[in-house]
This record gives sequence, structure tokens and C-alpha cells, in this order.
Amino acid sequence: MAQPLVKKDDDRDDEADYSPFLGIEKGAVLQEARVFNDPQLDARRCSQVITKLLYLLNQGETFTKTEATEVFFSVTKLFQSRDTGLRRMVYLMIKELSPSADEVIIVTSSLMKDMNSKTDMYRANAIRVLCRITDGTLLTQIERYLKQAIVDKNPVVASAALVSGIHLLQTNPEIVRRWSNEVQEAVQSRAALVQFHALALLHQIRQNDRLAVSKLVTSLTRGNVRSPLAQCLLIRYTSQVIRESGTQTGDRPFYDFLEGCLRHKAEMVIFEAARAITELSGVTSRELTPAITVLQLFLSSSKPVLRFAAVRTLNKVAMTHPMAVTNCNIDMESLISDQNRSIATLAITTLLKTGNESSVDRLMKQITNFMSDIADEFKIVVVEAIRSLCLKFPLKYRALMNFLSNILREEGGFEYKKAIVDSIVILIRDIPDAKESGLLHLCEFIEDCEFTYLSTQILHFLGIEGPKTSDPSKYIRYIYNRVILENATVRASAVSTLAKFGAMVDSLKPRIFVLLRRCLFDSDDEVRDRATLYLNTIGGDGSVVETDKDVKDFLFGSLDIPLVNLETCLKNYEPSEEPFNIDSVPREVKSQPLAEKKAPGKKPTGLGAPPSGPTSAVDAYEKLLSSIPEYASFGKLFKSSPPVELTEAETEYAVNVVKHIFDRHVVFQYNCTNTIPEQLLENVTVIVDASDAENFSELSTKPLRSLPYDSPGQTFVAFEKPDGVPAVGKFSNMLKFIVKEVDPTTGEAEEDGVEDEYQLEDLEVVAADYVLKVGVSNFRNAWESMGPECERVDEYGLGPRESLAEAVSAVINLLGLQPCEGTEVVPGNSRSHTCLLSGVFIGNVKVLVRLSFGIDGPKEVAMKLAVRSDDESVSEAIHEIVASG
Amino acid sequence: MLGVKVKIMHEMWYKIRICDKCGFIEAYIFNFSHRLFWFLSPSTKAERSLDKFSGEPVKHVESCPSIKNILLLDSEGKRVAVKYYCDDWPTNNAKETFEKAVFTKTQKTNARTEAEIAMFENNIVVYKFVQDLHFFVTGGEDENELILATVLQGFFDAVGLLLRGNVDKKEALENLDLILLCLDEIIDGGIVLETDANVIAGKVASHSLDSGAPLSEQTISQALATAREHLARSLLK
Repeated sequence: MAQPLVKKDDDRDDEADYSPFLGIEKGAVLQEARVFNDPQLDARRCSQVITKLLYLLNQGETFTKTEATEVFFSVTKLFQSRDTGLRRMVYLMIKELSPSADEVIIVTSSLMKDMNSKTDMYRANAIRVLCRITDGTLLTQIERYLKQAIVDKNPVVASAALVSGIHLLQTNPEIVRRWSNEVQEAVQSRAALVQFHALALLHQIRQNDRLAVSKLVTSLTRGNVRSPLAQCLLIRYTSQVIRESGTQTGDRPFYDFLEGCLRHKAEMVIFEAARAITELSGVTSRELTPAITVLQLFLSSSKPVLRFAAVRTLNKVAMTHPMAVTNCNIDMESLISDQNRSIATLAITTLLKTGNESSVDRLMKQITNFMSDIADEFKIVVVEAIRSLCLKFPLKYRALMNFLSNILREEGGFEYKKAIVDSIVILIRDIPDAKESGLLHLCEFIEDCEFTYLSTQILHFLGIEGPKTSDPSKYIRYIYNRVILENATVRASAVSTLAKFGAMVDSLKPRIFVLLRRCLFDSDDEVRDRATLYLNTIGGDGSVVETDKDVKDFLFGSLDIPLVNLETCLKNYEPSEEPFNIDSVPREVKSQPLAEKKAPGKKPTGLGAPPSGPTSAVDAYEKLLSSIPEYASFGKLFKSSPPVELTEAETEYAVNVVKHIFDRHVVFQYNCTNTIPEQLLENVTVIVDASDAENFSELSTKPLRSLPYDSPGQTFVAFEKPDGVPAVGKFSNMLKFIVKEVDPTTGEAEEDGVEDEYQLEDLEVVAADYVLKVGVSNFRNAWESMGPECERVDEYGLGPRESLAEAVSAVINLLGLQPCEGTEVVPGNSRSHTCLLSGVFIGNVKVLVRLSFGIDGPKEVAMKLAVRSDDESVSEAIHEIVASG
Repeated sequence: MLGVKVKIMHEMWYKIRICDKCGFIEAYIFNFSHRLFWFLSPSTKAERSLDKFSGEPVKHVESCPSIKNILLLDSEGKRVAVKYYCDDWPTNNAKETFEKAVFTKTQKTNARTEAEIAMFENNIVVYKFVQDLHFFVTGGEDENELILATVLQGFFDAVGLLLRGNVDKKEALENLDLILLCLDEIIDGGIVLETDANVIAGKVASHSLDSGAPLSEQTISQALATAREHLARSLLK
């Protein structure tokens, strides 16, 4: 009885698995490919075989060199057939095989014939294939046909030529640039997509010529662009022009065009324009409003893609202009229950950014329900949003810290737990009030933590922060529990942490001694070794004595040599009587740190950019500079500016400069890149003319010995300046070097070089370079504790301004201080605003600034500036910055 | 103050202590046939990597919209046809891993009426399902989502037209040549060629019609072969 049932199942299985390619095998198909050589071509059969070959390639099968060559040669025979379908498959196959240069010659003539055929489809495809496989020399031969094709009346042919042009521009720019007249004509084409492709190519040809791009945009924004895709492109180019024109205030040249696009009939264009407006630098709330309104409409669309796009953009806006997004909060809240969890998460994080202090509690309640039904990757995003919310409203730390510790106790993967721990660590660092409760939460977590890595990190952190708390002894129990219960890795860390407590808290020393002695009998040798070392280091015999400063340095110091260098040195170390010497490890950082950091690293999920925390770039610079003996005597690095470009993009030599400020010196670090493969630069220096900077006197120059193609190098120039004075000035720069030709085939440089110079743009040292952005968590407390002794108050008229927000951001940029408690955001329509800033002035003087702005009828802005610091002269200096700015 | 100690643990093992101003860094050196292998102890590694978090540079899109890949997978996540236009996934393994990740994460969502969207490793993926076929289009994280959705819709509808409404895996594999040509007509090296489904299908179909139409030109034997093939196929089912 059961038999028919089984059979039926079998049948269904067969049907589900049925595929025309079932049991296909490479060897057999290659055999089949012999039909290509038949004198009587069977077009249908040949098409099928090509499909099979393409199927194999598509499934990830690879052909050996000989197999590929063989297939390629037999495929070329198929040009004899007149069958159009087969010809298309032949084109596809040739593109997939990407033949080598000597093979290309075989098909060139056939393809060139097709390029001039009467059939449009042949022409279009032949162009695409030929441009894909061709090299520079062949290109000059067919250039004439391509130029014709660009202005061909058939849109498919024109598009094919234009798109091929875009690809070829990467490899043969000098040839493609000659086509700009034809491309220009194609931009006026009636066919929608031709216009799109022509616009893309024309822009790429001219992208380094700002004026030409600006002209292009001006003419096109007036005319009518047919294709929505072309319109999107035009919007991108327009915002580029706006950005480069640098007008921060007043009427932006093309704002009306962008705003007009918000009423376009294609959603794609509306969205592109809205996004472009939100990304304008220094965008005002009046400019933002229409864009936000459109995005708000998208939020309630039935299409998930539209909702996602809108909420993602609003999320980004909320980082800079939280007030502008508050109008969408109601729509945003309904999105929390969206089927698509990415949309829901983005909505939550946006709400967290726009929320004000009073709505935090209500939001947290909603999130607690939400957290249980989303995946870890989304939870991480929420945790990061909560971290920045907490930094914004430090007074709410209790509720938020509780939330974090609750989710820390729940189930979750490593990345998620790590995100929570990182957040708590940051909150402890930045909010002093949160320290004790945060540390206790972490202690409780390691009691029951399955991740060795996290336990170790927490113990390390506990060792640094714990001894500074009011009652360090309460942590000892948690730490010693680890020594008893955990694996060797964690035990070793716990021993180090105990030692730190012993070193810092003299009263605990005897007890720590007892505990450390017990560790001497541990089964793991690293634990025993650490215990022995620390017992000796802390010294004494277990009595209450003060710890040596050297010991503290040893326990809390940081490793100031790059681990990579250490690794190489250790590899080269031959075991011998002579011990390894750490001083022999070079400190020069092989530095391209900035460029590499931009590469997609392990960013959590990309949902919303993580808030910027303290950058590690400063550390990297510090290491780099301390490795140069001449600069070692300059003392501690005060501040390094972000890199300033001194050349335009895509010039022969790309140079940017980083300004390093020391107490009595300024060092310019010129990062140079040589973009010409045929050149080797030697003895590269920058000649700096400081005649416009009277307070600076040049001290020394550190040339760069050699600068090969595409590997960045640095040259330095150091200046002396008066101690502690924020001297400003303008410097003009000239790159000077010796050029040597490099043979491209051997890569060897010629013996003789020619001296050459290259003009760079000017560089300015401004007052803001002497101010370090350092936030305070509770501005009021800090302000009160600083006292009014060194306070300086004065009033300034700022003249007519576009808006209050614009005036506020201008002053913040001028001073270079860190806005506190979210006061950099001006609510729309307000007539007055108070902004709180904090930072550190050169000489390590803490500065707090309270700015009160008022605006009257004709946009006249007045400002009251109150500065408190530990040093009267610094307060004066801040006033001077404003007065002279 | 404290130098570096090298302690001989065993004939082949050396242990290194670095205690100069930098606390306790411990490493092991393993001497194996005159080559030294080196690694940090796990506690040291975890303790020393606590500081990170860096700001993210503001990026501006100025380039032409670009598509990173188009995937057509079946209901088990296996390839029907895929096309990659960038080097983000250099090996076939990397490609398959990406496809698997995308497939498993989207599998449970309902993308049958409207196209859905998700993010993977800094890429945006828009997708739509029909029967046992899953359509995906991937772009960079700065790409305009609606452009990606338009490309997806163009591909989806064009396939529908070319397969005459019978959109499923079996039909798609039987007409794989049409699907591959269709991909070729939508995107060229990452750049959008055409998004209108009717135009795309028209371009692809013009060939197949041409080749199918002049039946008279086929020789008798070829026609017979075709017929035999059809018969065989229907019997096999």
C-alpha cells in the first residue's frame, strides 16, 4: 500500500531537481564545443553549447589557460554564421573569456566589421565587446568609429559607445578626452539614456576642471533633462559645484534648482535632491525644511525601499540637525513596528538622536520591548545610539546605564556584548558620576562572562579606573574571584589588575600581597610569572608603604613602539647570551595610517555612522614625531590638525599637510604621493616662505630621501615660535625634488636626475589650531568650579547674518572649541541662543566659554562672550581670537 | 629600569617579557627547525587593544550610479545566474559566501509584492521574490536606493516578459541564454544601460525571434533534430 506513496514522492523530487543542466560536466561540454568547427554550422546547437559554457562559468567553474584558448579560437569561427541570436551569444562568450592581447587580434577584424554593419544591434554590441577587450594601441585605430557611434542616431549604439568611453577613461584617458565635442553633442540627445551616459562621461572627462563643471551644470540646470537618471547625476554634480564654490552663507547659487527637483515626477529624483540638500555643508533650517517635508511623506509610503531611503537619510540629518527632524517623530514612532527590521532600527536610532531630555524615559520603555525581537546586528546599532544619547544628556546616565546593564545580562553574541561593554567603558570615561555604578555593572558581568576576551579587557580597565574610586577595596573580591574560577588568560589579567590596586592604594597593599602570594602556586606559568614580577616590583614586605613612581610608570605605562616593528625584531632575534634589547626596535611607523583607515574596516553594520569618538590619529602622529630625534626635544605634542590638501585632486604629485602644534614649536608634516609610475623622486623637501608669518622662524627641514610611485612618504619642516602665544600666519610652499626616470619594464631608476620644483597652495596657521576640542560632561559644574577670578566678559556685534544657527556655527568654527550638551544646535525660529563650549588652550589651560547670541529684525546678530579659564591671559587670548576674526 | 627578559622554557621554547615602561607584555617564541615563530600571549593581546573608535570621514557621491552585482538565486540559495561588476568579492568563494549571507538573511522576509531592502557589509541590497526565484541587486552604501530599486524592477519585469509570465527556476534555466542576455542589456560594467523592462526584453527577444522565425532556412535534418529534442524533453518530464 505504501508503494505508490513513495513513488509519488520520488516523482516530485525528480521534478523539483529537474534542470536542463543536470549532471553537466566541463570535460563533456568542452568536447561538445567541437561543433563550432563543423563546416556546416548548426546555429541552434552552437547557441546551446555556448549557453552551457556560460552556465559553467556562472557556477564558478574555471577554465585552464589552454581550455580557454581552445574555446576562444573555436568561438571565433562562429562569426561565419549569419544567425543573429548566435552572434549575441558569441559576443557574451568573448566578454566572459576576456582573451589575452595576442588573441584579441584574431577577433578584431570581425568585430570591426560588425561595428560598421547595418544592423544596429551588431554595431552596439560589437562596440561594447571590442572596447572591453581592447588595449591602447588598437583603440587609436577604432577611435574614428567610436566618435561616429557617439553621435549615432540610434540610441542603443550611442549609449554603447558612451558607456564604453566611461570604462576606457580609466585606462586610456588621453584618447577619450579627445571625444568631448561628440560627447557634448550627445548630451543634447533626445534619447533619455543617451543623455544620461553622455552626461556621466562628460563630467568624468572634465572633473578636474572646476570651471568647466560649473559651466556644464549652469547650462543644464536651465534646460530640461529628460531621463530621471540623468537628473540624479545633475543633482550630484550640482551639489559638488555648491560645495566647491564654498559659499556657506547667503543665497546658494543652485539651491533653487535642488529645491525644484523636489517636485519632480520621478521619486528617484525627488529623493536624490532631498538627500543632496541635507548634505549641503552648513545647511540652514530654512533650506532643510522642504527636503524634510518630502522625506516625511516617503516615511508613510507603501514601498519598503522608499521608507528605508527616507529614514536612513533622516537618521543622518538627525546627527547634525536633530531639531529639524523632530517633526517626523510621529511617523518615525509608527515605523518601530515596521516589518522590515532595518527600517525599524533606523527609526529607533533616529528617535534616540532627536529625543530631548524629557522623552528619554518613554523612549527607553519602547526600546526595551523592541530589543527582544531583533537580531544582534541591529541591537549593536541601538546600543551605539544609546551611548551617544547618554553622552548628550549626562544627567540621564542612571536610566541609560541601567538599560545597558540589563541588556548585558541577557543572551547575546560576542559582537553585541562587546558593543555594550565598549559603551559602558566610554560612559565611565566621559561621565565621572557614572563611574562607580558602571564599574560595578562590569564587575557583575565578568562574574558570569563566557568571553575570555571581554573579561580580560574589563579587568585591565578595572585596574586603571578602580583604584581611583572612593572605595577601591570593594572590587578586590570580584577580581580575586577571577583568579580562582577562570582560565589562565583571565587569571593572568586578574593578577595584573590586583597589582595595580596594590600599587595605587597603599592601604590595600598588605592584603594584595597575600593574594598575590597565593597566585605563586598557580598551575599556569604566565600567572605565576606575573605574580612573581609584581611582588618584586611593588616591593616592600607587604607593609603599608608608598609606591615608587617608577613602579607606577611601569604598571600604567603604554607601549610606545609599534607592535608590528616589535614582531619583526623578535623574529630576527637569534637566541644567545645577549638578551633582546627593546631599544633596538625602530620606532618609525611605516605610515600610511590615514589612507588605510578609510578602507572599509569593521564598521558594525553601516546602519548610520557611529558617533565620532576620540580619534587614534593623534596617537599615531605622536609616535611618528617622537621617532624623529630632532623633534624629541619639542616636548609633548599639543594638537595635530586634520590634513589640509595643498594640491588639487589627480595632479602629478598629491600633497597634504598636517600642522603639529607644540608649546614652542610648530611642525608641518607634508604627506606626499607620487602619482607618476615613470618617475622616482629623491631628496624631496618643501621650501616654505614664512615672510607673511613674522612670529615664526624656520628651524630645520627633514627631507624625504626617496618617493617612489604610489607609496606615500613624509617630509617635515619645523618652526620656532614664542612660547605659549597663539601666533598666526600664512606660509607659501614649494615642493623641491630631484626627478629620476624609471624604466617601466624593469622598474629601475636611471642614474642621473633633474632638479625640479612644483608650486603648492598656501597654508595658514590660525588661532583655532591652538585650541583642543575637549568636552566636559557637566558644563554647569565645571563652570562653577572654575570660579569667576579669571573671567572675561565682552560683547560683540557680528553684523547681518543669514540666521542665528549660521552665526553660532561660524563662531564655533572660529574658536575651534568643543560644543557641550548639544548646545551647538539652534532651534528653528528662536531669537536668542546660548551655546556652551569647552576645550584646552595651548599650555594645557582649560577653557570654558559661554556664548549668548541674540538676533534682531534686520538679521543683526549680537553676541556676549564669557570666558573662564585658569589663566587670565588665556581668557584674553580667546577674546582676541573673536575680536580679530 | 626593567629590561627585557628572555627565559628559556624548553629547548625549543623561548619566552619574552617586555617590561620597559609598558607594563607586562608577554610573548612566546617557538624555535622550529631554525625558524622562529612568534606570538603574543592572549591576555596581553586583549588588554592592549582596548583603545579604538575613530570618526568616520564624510563621503560625498559624485560618481555615476553604479551597481556592484545582480544575483538570481533559486529557493535554496543556489545560483541560477549571477553577474558581478566590481572587485569587492575577488574569489568565487567570497562570492558564494556573500550570496549565502544575503540569501539566508532575506529568506524569511516577504518580498513578493513589493521590493524589500537590507544592508550587508556596507552594501545596500534590494530584492524581490517570485515563485522559487530570488532577484537581488547590490549597490554601495552611498547609492541612491531608488535607483537600485529601479534596476531591480527592470530586471524583474524583463525576465517576466521574456519567460512569458512563467517565472520559475525551471523555465529560467531552460531559457538561460535569454536571462544572460538580459543581464548583459541592463548593466555594462556596473553602469546602468537600460531600466525599461519593455526595451530590455525587446532587445533580447529580437534575436531569439530572428533565429526562430526563418524556419524555412533550416535544413530538414535540423528541423527534425529540433522536433526530436522537443519530444525527448517532454518525455523526460
